[in-house]
Amino acid sequence: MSIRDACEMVSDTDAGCLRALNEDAVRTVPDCGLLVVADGMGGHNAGDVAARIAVESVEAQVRTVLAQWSPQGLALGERLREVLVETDGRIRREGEADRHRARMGATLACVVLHDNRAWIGHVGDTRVYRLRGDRLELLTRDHSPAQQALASGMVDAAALAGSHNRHLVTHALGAGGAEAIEVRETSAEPGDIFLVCSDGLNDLVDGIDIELVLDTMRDNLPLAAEQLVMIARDCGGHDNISVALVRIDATFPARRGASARHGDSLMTRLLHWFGVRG
Amino acid sequence: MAKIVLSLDGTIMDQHFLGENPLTIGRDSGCDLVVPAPEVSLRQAHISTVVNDHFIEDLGSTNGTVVNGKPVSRHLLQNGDVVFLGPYRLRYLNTASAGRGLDRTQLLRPQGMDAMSVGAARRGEASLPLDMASAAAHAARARLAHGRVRGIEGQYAGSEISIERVLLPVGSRGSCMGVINRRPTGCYLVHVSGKVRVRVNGRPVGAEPVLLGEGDVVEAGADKLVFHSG
Repeated sequence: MSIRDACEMVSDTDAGCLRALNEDAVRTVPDCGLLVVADGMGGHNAGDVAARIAVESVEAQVRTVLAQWSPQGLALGERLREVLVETDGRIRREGEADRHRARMGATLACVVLHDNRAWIGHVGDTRVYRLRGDRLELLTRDHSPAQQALASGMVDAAALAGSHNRHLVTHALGAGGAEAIEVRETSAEPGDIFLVCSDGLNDLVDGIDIELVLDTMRDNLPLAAEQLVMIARDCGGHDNISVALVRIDATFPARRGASARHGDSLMTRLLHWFGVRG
Repeated sequence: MAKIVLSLDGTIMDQHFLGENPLTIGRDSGCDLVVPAPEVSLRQAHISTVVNDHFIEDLGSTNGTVVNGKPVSRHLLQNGDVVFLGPYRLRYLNTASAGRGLDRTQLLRPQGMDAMSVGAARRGEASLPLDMASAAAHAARARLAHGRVRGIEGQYAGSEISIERVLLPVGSRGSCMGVINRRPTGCYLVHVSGKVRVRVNGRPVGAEPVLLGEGDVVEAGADKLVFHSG
């Protein structure tokens, strides 16, 4: 089944309760199995412009990459890293071309679902979670001093709630974040839900409450997105809030084209005919 | 900017601004902050800095390090924290209000931070522990309405539970599932999924959430509950 038919995707974005401007950008592209959220940097100029460039750049480039699919494989991880490096460059060049946009940047996280796997890319504190069964897992580690303190054991999750460093990131696209780009590959199974969100969600809603919402509303994804935004607003909503969700309903092996099949051995073709993948 | 103020019987004896370098506290004259009390170890504790945060760590002192009356081995200091050092009091002051959340995300580029965070991030594939919302969000949760449900039939039968989390699932997935949301304006019942709608006092809940009132009867699949506000 194609990824488009094998999943449901929804997204929601909200400026929050205190800000007039939404500097987040969110994009879901079912054809490509792509979810992407970018959070334009406050304190910089034109954060909303940076976020928009980021999601448009990722979408356009991922489309190109997937169109080049061959049975020898895509090396999708490496391609996705290149996509993010190029996106960093595009934002920086736009910033250099217009002094009103100088030093703009965006944190970004994305998921690409392809051939029964998920590729996760991120820079900064935009996050990807996966709900599998009734358990939510955080798949990205923020590029932030707060997350660093947690990882090193200096502080536990409860104490981190009171950290003075919650709104600092060490890297963002367009602002020299290329060296921090992280891409990982992980499994994607029917029943899994992936969540990509800006920090306006996880800064306002506890991880265990995000888990409860997704688990309870797995059969009503639009409501899950709406409720995550609503809860973040009810708990202060001091930042822009963006969520993108995908639920995988069936396996999505990459299409093996007729020409690609031609060179395969008889046994491989027979196995493929019977639905067994090598 | 953060600082620590040492006082004895209400009189300020010493103060230090906290910079990038760790600050040592003890009875020994070589310490950055000397506290001349017999209860204090030669090297009692040190304070380290991570950008805007400051951690106090006990250095294996004889009497331990006590913050706000509680012994700590390592503690993330919050504005107004008081460290007890024999008869001395050490107060921590930080004008950047922690977790207030009004400050926007900012990019930090101090030297050395990059390698540290990137290195840690690449370590291991394991998923990370779920973390908690900011202190500000937890404070804001105090505004959410309170509610209790008493179970008549189903999973909550015979018990009365207070809704502590932001929402309470009712019913079961597949047949009839709903949630009760705690919101600033009250508790609301929302239909989530299933062919059979959740009901309030016998009436099915449509697309809009229904504000629950005292004594309302909620039905969701096998669950039947009475809602109590407050």
